[in-house]
Amino acid sequence: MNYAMQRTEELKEIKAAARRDRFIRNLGFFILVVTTTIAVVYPFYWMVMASFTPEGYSLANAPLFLAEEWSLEAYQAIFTEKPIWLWMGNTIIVTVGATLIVLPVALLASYSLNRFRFVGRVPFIFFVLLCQLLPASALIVPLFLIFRDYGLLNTLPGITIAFTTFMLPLAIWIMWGYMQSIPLEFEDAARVDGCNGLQAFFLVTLPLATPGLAATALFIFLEGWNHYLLAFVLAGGTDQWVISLGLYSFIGQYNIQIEQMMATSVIAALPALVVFAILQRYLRGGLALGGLKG
Amino acid sequence: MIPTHSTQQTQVSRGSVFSLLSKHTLPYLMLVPATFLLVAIIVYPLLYSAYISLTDANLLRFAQAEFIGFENYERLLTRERFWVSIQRTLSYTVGTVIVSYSVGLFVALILNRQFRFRGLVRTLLIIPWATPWLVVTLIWFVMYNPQIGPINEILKLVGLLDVGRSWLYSSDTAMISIVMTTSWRLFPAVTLIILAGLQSIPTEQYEAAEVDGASMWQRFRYITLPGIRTVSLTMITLLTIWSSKLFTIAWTLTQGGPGDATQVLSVFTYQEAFSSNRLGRGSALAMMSFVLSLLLVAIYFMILRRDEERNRK
Repeated sequence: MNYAMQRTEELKEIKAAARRDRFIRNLGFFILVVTTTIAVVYPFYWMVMASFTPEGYSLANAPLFLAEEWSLEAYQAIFTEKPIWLWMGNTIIVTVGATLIVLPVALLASYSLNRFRFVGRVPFIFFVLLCQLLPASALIVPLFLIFRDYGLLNTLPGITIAFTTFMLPLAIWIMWGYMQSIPLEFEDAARVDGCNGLQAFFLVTLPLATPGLAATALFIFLEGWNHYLLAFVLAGGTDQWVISLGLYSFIGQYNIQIEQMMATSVIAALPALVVFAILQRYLRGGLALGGLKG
Repeated sequence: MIPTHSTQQTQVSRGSVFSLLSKHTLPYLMLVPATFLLVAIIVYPLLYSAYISLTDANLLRFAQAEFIGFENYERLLTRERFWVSIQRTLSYTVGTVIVSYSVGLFVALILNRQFRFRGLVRTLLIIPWATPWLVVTLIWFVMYNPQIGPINEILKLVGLLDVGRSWLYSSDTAMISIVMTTSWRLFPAVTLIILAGLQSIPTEQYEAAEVDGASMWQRFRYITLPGIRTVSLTMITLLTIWSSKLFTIAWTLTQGGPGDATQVLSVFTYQEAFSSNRLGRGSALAMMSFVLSLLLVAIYFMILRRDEERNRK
């Protein structure tokens, strides 16, 4: 009886020690998670905070850990004083235009690459990958000269064409990845039921590929929203500025208006974040590997 | 009986006509629009650029451009500025690959454990990757700012720094600053890919190792690392390609400066062609970066094909 009580006491002690150990380890891990998250998110948090402060507040109260005064001044200012609607409108025109050119072309190409085995298939895939990962700086001189000859310099159609240079290879690559997830059996079944190849494609594969098309459209929209160099070289006038050029204009200013700068950043980041959130589930698989550029 | 027979026959003949079409010409026909566009917007400009690189074309007097053979290449290869630019590209690429890969791996290892709010933490940690490049520039422009930048203040608070530094404007810190900024933007890509790799490692292996008394380091070294070898190789190659060609950060944050401290190849190309107006020499640089990316993409392609074959087995 006495011995048994002693045993249970000992067991209790061991259990308590183990619990203490686990607690310390968990606490260590908790601290690790919290510090990492804060370190990564802090710049973003700073941007959002600063955008909601009155003008000049960040300059006087550096660094801004917690703001005490709030204001929408900066947002009012950028929407009235800066052509932010023009920048966003131009970006949307250019990316939507390029997407409309790119999607049907990419759909056909990716279907061909996925459904058929033919001579030249692998070299073509390599060619697409090379085009997709090509430095944009390799294209700025010739595109500038060609666009000048055709009167496309400083025009929205010109920027649209320039944007297809990176959107098309990317779209083929992503669509191709998506096509691989559509089983061939559906199409074969349709053929057995008397469809010809084109009918099978339009009635069976195309509807199944629609989510992939939508995802591709969003991916290349993101790339367009992000892109800077080609627009920088090919859009000379402020009337054709896309959002990235508008954002950059804040850096050259003599008087840096931190609040307006951050408010514009927030507005520019929002669409990208929303699109990214929608695309999150596609990023988990292998699609992200070839699919996304830096 | 007879009608059935006849429909069967027409079906067979229609099928054979179609199969002839599909087997031999249809795949190529479907590639025609893509090929046409890619040739028009990428191949033709590259060939044109190759030609321009052999002339002394100048932006201000383009009509008088003359053929000068390989002089542009010779001039570049003997000029110190070119080699400095190559060295800057190397520093930027290697730095970005190392920092973003190690941070990405570290975060992936954290996220691979079960804990409360893991979904939320994951979402927060991916935010940088979703941020547009120019927003990244503006945020870090403020972060590094010598007057109001939080980085100086935080380092002073922790005691690592006595006097605030102007990170972007001194030549010994400009490169590390743009490397950190680029890595902040890129590491979540590494995290997502590695996380997928980690989750494919069977948990039985860890349990068996624990039973055998393997330490945490041994488990990491002999189970985790081999398990993510393939994804790591792919990701490192991709990071190399991305960072070696990136223009946006080195240009918008530091304009290649101060001096030539952040003058990576893409920035040098732009400056030669459009700031110094030497289109010929800019084209020569563009051709060289094209060859470089050709090599890197070939390596990446081989890795991808090997993975694909392994997966098929």
